[in-house]
Amino acid sequence: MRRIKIGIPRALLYYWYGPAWQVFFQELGLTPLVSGPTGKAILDAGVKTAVDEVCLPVKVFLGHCLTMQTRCDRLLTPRYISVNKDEFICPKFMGLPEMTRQAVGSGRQLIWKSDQHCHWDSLKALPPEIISGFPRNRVMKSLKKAKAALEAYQLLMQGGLLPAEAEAALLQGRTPERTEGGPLIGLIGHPYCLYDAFINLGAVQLLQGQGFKVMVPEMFPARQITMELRNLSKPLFWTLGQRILGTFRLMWEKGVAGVVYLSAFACGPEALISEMVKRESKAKGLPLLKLDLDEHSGEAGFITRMEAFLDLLKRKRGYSCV
Amino acid sequence: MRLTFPHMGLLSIPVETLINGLGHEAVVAPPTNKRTFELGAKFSPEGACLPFKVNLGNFIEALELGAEGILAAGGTGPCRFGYYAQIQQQILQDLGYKFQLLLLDPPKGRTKELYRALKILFQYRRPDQVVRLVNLAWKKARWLDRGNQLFRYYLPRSKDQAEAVRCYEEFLARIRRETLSSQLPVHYRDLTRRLEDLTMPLQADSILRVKIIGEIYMVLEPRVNFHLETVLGKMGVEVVRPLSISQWVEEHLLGVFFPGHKQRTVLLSEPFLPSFVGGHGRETIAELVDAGVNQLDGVIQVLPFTCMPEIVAYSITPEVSKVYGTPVLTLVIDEHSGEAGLMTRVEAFVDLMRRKKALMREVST
Repeated sequence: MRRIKIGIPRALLYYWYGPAWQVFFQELGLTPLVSGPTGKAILDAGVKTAVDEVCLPVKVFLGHCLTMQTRCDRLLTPRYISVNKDEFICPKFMGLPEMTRQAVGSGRQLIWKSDQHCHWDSLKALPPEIISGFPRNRVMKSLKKAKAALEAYQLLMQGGLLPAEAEAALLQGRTPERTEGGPLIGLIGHPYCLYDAFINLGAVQLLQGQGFKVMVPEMFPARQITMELRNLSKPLFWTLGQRILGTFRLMWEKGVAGVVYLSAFACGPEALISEMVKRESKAKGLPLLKLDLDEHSGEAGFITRMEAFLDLLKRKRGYSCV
Repeated sequence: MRLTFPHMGLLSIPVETLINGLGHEAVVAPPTNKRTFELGAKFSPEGACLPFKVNLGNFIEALELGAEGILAAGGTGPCRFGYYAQIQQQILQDLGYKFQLLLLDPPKGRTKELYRALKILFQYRRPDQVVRLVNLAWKKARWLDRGNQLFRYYLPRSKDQAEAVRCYEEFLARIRRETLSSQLPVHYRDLTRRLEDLTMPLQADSILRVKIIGEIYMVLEPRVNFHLETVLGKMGVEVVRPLSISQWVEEHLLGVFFPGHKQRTVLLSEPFLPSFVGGHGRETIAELVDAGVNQLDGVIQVLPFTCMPEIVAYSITPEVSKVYGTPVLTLVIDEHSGEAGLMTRVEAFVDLMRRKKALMREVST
């Protein structure tokens, strides 16, 4: 049983649910196999198979699936339609298994669902192969462990760790060594844009290297975000969009020097969310840099803009101190 | 109140009837034109989809004409349409326009907004008058869609296509003016007779049958899809189109009375896309399957750039197309799309379909 390998692509919602998935499969006695960090080969493979109009993160996901399909027996392709009541993730996540099937070929997929009627941690949401292949109480027990792992993971992130560090701390017990300090800077965007160091050209490291302490959306608990967005005329129906707008407001309250917004080119919800964020940043007088990521992002142009923004922030700070 | 609303194909005719009949004044925005595109693209977020931009352009042009209120619809996601009105309201307010937004949001949880909008809308009329008026507008939408269907059938078969277009436009104008619902079928019969007179004798299978599917706004608004249906009709292609305004109303607002639409979509799309993806993504796949089963000559999918549900469908179309052997042409349109490039692709597609049909005929005889 140990020999059955479950491939987990390190893309999209992996940055939210990855540790929980890993713990779940481990508890069942399977071997979870997480694909390596995104690289040129993965991106190219994804770009080649996907239709042009798909956003970069989905192309990256397909790239991960393609490069690891030969190394595993089953490939986890989640269909996370909704993780909160009356909210959605994004249409592309709803059709993700079909898009993957189109790219990778049929069979060998494990589809883990989550929607309004069955949440991801319910028995009905699990892949049918898992349900039929294991005794019910064992599945339940693993699911419980996975849920506990997710909660621990979220707590670690809320404590100030980045997802990769939190994952290492949780699964391998490695605590990160990092010198804290420096002025605060906010980094917002979808988790799969912020924590994939290849597609955002190492934005987190860049900001840290410039002596800033980086705040990311995952550092805020969901409850705070819900509270923060109570005054919207119509509730936002995208969970990830809510997190972006809510944490933008919370970061302002925490007194960040500025906010960098990383968005994927042609991302549907972000086209509207970024408009709201832009308006609020103008109203609040909080400096905002919005960068669009796509497969053609050139490192030089990206870093120049980021550095120019940081220089302006430092300058502004210098003046306000005087 | 002087009320305006976004354009979508023939929608303006029943909505204008409804607003005027309710004692308000309908301010119909100028038909979508180059300026609408420019205004919309200038003030919208860059990544927003084309319907958002064009609607915004429509609103600006109508507000310039003196509209005081905007009638808009909402949704519950995940398609961006559900959040259009909120963002557009902010943009228009920042531009300095004063107006009231009447938002017809599906009553999911928050009924206050819907109640407020309906109260303002129906303030001048008694309930029985409202019922009669809604009935008239609904009948108009139904007969318009039937007339449109007729026109799509007869256009490729008529000997004087310009005359056929004229007859159809006259029919639209008559329906627009009509105040009696009993007269609507009369106009329809008149259109039928006139179009029948124009038909020419044809060989049995010289007409190609092509289905247009995709995002509803892009499919229904001829000024945004470069009059695709008429262009195809003039090339001798009969356009089959499952989407229409009355179909949308039946499926989404009166779903309880017309469960068939949804059942059909679920049944047909199940093997290829077993999940709801928002917007018309699932309908697109279902209709593609339907076209394959009924052996239509081809399918054209129209979607605005960055449309999320349609991109999911677009990713799956090759699979469906392969299974049924149905040729599919996908047109992604945004404000930068050029007519010439698009038409070249459509012409080439029609040529290929024609060739395929001729080959098939040879093989079978």
